Amino acid sequence: MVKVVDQVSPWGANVIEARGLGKSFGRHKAVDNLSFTVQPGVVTGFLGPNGAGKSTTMRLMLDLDHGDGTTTFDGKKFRDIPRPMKVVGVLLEAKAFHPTRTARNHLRMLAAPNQIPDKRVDEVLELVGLTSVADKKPKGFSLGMGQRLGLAAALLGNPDIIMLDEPANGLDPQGIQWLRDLLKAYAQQGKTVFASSHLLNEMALLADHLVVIGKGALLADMPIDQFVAQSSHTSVVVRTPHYERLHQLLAARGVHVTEEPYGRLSLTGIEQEAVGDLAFAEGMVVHELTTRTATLEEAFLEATSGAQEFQGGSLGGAA
Amino acid sequence: MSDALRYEWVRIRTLRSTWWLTGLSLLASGALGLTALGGDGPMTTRDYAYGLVGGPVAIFVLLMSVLLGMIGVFSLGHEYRYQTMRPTLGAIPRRSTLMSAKVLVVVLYVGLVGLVCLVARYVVMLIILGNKLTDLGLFPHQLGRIWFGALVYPIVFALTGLALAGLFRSVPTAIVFTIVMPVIVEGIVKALLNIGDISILKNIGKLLPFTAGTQIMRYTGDTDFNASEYPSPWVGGLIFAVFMGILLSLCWVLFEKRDA
Repeated sequence: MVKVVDQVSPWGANVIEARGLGKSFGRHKAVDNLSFTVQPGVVTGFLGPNGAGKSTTMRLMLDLDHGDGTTTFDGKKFRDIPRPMKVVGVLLEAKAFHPTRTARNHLRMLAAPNQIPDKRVDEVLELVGLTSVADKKPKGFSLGMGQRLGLAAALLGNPDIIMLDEPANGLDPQGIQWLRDLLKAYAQQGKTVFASSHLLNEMALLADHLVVIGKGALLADMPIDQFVAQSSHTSVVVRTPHYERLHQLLAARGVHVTEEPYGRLSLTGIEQEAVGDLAFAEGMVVHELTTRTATLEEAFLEATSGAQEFQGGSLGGAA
Repeated sequence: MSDALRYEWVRIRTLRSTWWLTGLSLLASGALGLTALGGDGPMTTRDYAYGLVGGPVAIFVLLMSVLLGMIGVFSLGHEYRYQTMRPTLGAIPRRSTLMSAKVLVVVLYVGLVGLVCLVARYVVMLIILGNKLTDLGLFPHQLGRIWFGALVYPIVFALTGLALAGLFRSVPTAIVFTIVMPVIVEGIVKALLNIGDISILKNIGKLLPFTAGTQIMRYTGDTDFNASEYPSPWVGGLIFAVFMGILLSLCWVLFEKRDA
């Protein structure tokens, strides 16, 4: 008799470990040897341009699509988890429900095989704000309401890990803020949150860590601050009456200097403190010295340039 | 497995279509063609058989099969039509377990409703015919097989619908196939094969699955009945069951292999 021993993750509990994920559609590689780890206690954002393979990756992780590699949740493959909704909550598509089965019955149906009591169904309906329409047929639900029902399903088993594909899709600004607070609170409880989104401003407010992919391959797996800081769009801005002399001194030190209006210099490849020290040592008056941090959008566009599956043209080109 | 059965039971009973299909089947069991039984002549086994299944072509059982067959089609077809397959596999990740539960619940539900419909039909016949029916006994000559066939045919039909919905991953295609094949296509094919009186073509005609399947509930003692045109009752039932078995096996294999 073979004794099955659960694999223990070296990262601790509630960790998602994806190793060597791969998926091809004909000759096109949608996901290419992708490996990453999603840690508990933080919100991990999953970013990539359209067609980068985010949704395919999530489906591969859950054994919904067949491909290469393995993913473990707290040391177990998804299909080997008994009553998986109590361990991993999943939202892949909004409006994935039968149009005439009430919201409450939809959740009861999913709860039944996972031995989740009906009381919990009412709790999550209240949590996502759908109590008033719990016994209504969801065929008239808006995209946002459908998304809330999908979120309710993901949270049904009060799982330690949640995976959400574009959870903010269709939500109004209040809904997005509610979702952000919910996911942050979830992570603060030591749970694992892995969410994809194309709303970069939203992701900048939500995520602590990023996994960025392009054309199915890993581009970055790091804290969001580090991802933004390493962008070439992060620069030091200095304004001084001696800007020509400072320009020469910095250029001689290999700093990339760009002249900006109003006597400003934009510097990359040097820390703010080093610029201040240099100006002080050279006896230069400085009227402004700041670090201009790149936005997540700038950092993302830079990281994914050349890794876009689909690129639009411009109207000017048609003339 | 019990977890998956729990899911399927909640799924099937929270669909309105389940209840109106069940209601229509029950309605048909009491309403279809039974008034013709109220004649003055003596009751025969043939009358009993035709009354139970709906004449020589078993129209009542066929109608009941089409109605209850939709429950089989919806069992898998709705998962694709409304994109609930992924949430479902998120709740029950083992596909074989899910498929087993779907098959089992369809067999049990259609079997139970089919039995209730047949019993209801018998009771209506009893009300109309009284002693003339009871004098024949419950299972006279051939009627045991016919009762069995009328019970099994809708089950096999529903499983065929489930398999087609899984193969095509489309409810409309599966519905069209399950209605058009037995009602129109097989009739045309059989008529074409009978042109020219070539025995080999006639024998091929015996293999048409839905038509062959109806033989299991066919009363063969009728003077009009031409036995050479049809397979024997048990062989006919077997042909239909094998046809369903092949489709279901193919569906099962693809269900395991395809992306959800």
